[in-house]
Amino acid sequence: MTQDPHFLYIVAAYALGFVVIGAMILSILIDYASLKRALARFPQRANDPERPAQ
Amino acid sequence: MRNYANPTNFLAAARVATPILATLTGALLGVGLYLAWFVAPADYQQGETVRIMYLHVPAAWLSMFIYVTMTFAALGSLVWRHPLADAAQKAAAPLGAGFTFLCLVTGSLWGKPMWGAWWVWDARLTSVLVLFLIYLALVALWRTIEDPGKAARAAAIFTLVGAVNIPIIKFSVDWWNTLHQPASVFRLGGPAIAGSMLWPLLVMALAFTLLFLTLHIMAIRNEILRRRLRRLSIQTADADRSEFSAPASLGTAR
Repeated sequence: MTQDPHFLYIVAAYALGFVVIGAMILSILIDYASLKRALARFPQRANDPERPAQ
Repeated sequence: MRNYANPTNFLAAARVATPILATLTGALLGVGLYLAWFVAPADYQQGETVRIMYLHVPAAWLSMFIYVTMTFAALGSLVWRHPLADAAQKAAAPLGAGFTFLCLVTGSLWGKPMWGAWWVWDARLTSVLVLFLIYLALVALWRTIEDPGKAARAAAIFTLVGAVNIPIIKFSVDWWNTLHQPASVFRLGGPAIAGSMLWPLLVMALAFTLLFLTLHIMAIRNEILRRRLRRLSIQTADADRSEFSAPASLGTAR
């Protein structure tokens, strides 16, 4: 496969796939962590996702 | 099913479903990548470059599937004004933009060695570019309008208008002369692709669909928490304001 003259195009496509998908996963996880942190500043049950907020 | 339409129940279900879906997605992506790189044969004309197909085609399918999902959520927003439909709409737009971007760039990386051009303004490529711009416009719209209810209604109307682009993308290769090849999997006469290439493609497509489902659930969860945070912030601000204004009003009453 590495002998193919267009091997770099294949590698670039998959590398880009990892970067784009990784970025989507990371942005969602970072957003979740910051929301949890912000909710934790409120007292009562605000941070418990199982219960409705007051 | 109606139970899960309640945001609080949805959060509880998401907490259980997310790790299961993430594990399934990881396993299926691993199998799909192995099949795509080491089992599927090279094409007799395209050689090894055909391996880009296993990334490009699932991303292309998802770009349309996500838009259809958003269209149903938009109907839920407009007809039932359901907060979960609003969250589903908002959460899907950046994911749709991501997969459409992936589709466009991998297509370009496939097109250069096969067609000799990074880009051509043919109907399929142009209509997918329009889809990408629609996704970006929706993301911008959600960020521009502060009131979540108003933003949801505006985004829903925009999404429904933009839905006309989906059949254009699908049938562009039949309606116009395009450099892009016609459909080779979902066609009337059955798939025109060899089984040894079709199976890895279907496994990758299923893995991508599960990936979207997992990320969508996680992003909807974030939107529910964001609304909760907004509500709590407003309540706290109101409580602070009434605390400050209470002595003043007592003073004037005297």
